[in-house]
Amino acid sequence: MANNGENPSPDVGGKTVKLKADDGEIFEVEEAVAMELQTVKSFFDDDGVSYDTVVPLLNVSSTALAKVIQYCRRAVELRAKSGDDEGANEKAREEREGLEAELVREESDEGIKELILAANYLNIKDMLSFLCRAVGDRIKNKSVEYVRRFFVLENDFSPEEEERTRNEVAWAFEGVDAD
Amino acid sequence: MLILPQELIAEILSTLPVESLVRFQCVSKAWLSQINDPYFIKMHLHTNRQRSLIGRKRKSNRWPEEYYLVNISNEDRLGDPVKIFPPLYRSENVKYRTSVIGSCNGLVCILFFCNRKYGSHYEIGIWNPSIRKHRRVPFEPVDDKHKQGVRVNSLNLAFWYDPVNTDYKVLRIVKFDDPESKTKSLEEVQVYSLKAHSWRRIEDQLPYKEPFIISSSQSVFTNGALHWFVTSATGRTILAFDLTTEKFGVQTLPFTLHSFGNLMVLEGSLCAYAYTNQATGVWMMKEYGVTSSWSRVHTVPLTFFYRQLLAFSKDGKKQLSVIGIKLAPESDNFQSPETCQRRNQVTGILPVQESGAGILPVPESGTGRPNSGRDIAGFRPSRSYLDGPGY
Repeated sequence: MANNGENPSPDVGGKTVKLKADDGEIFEVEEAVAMELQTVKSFFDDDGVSYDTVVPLLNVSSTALAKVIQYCRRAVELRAKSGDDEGANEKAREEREGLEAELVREESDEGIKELILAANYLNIKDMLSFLCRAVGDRIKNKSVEYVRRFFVLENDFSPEEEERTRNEVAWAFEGVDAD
Repeated sequence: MLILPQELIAEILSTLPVESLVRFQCVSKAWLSQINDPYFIKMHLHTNRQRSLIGRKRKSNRWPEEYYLVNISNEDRLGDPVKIFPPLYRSENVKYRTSVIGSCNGLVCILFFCNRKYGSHYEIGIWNPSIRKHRRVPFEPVDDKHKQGVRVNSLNLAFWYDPVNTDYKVLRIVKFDDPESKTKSLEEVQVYSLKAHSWRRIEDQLPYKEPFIISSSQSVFTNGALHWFVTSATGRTILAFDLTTEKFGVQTLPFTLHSFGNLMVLEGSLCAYAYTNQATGVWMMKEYGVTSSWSRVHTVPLTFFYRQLLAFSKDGKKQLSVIGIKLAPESDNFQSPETCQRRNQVTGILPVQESGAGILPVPESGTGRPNSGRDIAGFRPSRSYLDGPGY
């Protein structure tokens, strides 16, 4: 099975679905994997849409889509492995957590935000959930200024207002990572 | 630079520990509003499945007292106790002690009491340790006919969350000397609503004709009611207070259980446990309200006393994991919780005993200090909002 995520040709022989990223690149994906993307699933749930139709995913870049497909493919595989056996479930859970960690480890802040937007647009609940947790982990010990830069936010407090809040909860500012 | 919409920011924020959220109120006005939004607070509570124990250092003469938080990992392993900021009584000149009544949704109900020297005064507070604020529950004197004040013999409290009214409640059962007859004892039951900021008298009477003592060190909640062990001349029974009908009821116990000391909830069923030097036996009332359905479910062999058992489950897993709080030898100051690594297969999913209700018997006025009391409760950190001005 090709692992580079770029237009893999599944030789499984099962049904496939074509997904088109914002730059026009087409990804041919196994049906089971494509259905992980609820947006895609809804697209085909509409009456009269044939499975040959190319699904236009206008808000997702090809880089992001490639990573999403790679994640969903592995997630589907892992789900097939787990069953009633507690040991197998445990192992599958650990592998899935490893997969999630691997996905975010090398990602820049911009990259992770892009994946979050993609997972949200494509409506992949589990993926969105762990991506949000990953960002939470990244920012939880950071300063207020760091967070403003990360989320591109303006400080709309007056200096007095901000000073007052900071003094009220000064204890929450202890032990914050240096920027 | 990519910008995330507010609903995705909310989802990210809901994964953060409370301390971070408190700090991030300073980020912007939109974030301040988001973090204090009641719906968000609820979402945060459900996302953060961190289970903890909150406890007070026992046998310590330091003041203010020291409170600790112990996290419970997903594998039911206990982390190291982490010191937290204690609840502070209003007046710094008065030395007081505290005791934990119970905990729900990150709020902890605390009893403040000052001993004789300062007038045997007590006060109740609802505390959110995660945001370091607490709200004092207004003092309500016992409603006696003569309005001259009464001599309180015992005080039993319970704390719970009422989802129907989205309200936190405190129950107070007071026993006091009948001013008209030196030998008789009267009871009064009141319920406090955090939303209404007021107490309300419960009309139903406690169903005991003879003298009785509420003898369990905590009340437990199951089947829509609070339960306590009660000792009276006829032996031991279970007192139940239905939270919907606000009526009391009594359940009899098989004789074997008349010496048992504690109640807890497993699988939604009421259980009683007692410990000896060799083992802890746990009995369960398999069918609620049916005395004959009490049967032994576990024997946990132990090499030391467990002062208190808290049972937790992992979601979806059909296992019982019992956490026992070890009774510390006299020389130890801190009672280190230890996990009893006994795993027994039980069917069904076990409820997380996290919103426990505790009972603190107030001492006979004179000794000035409770002789037992709850200093540990299950806890889950949250941003639960304390309506009104905090401490």
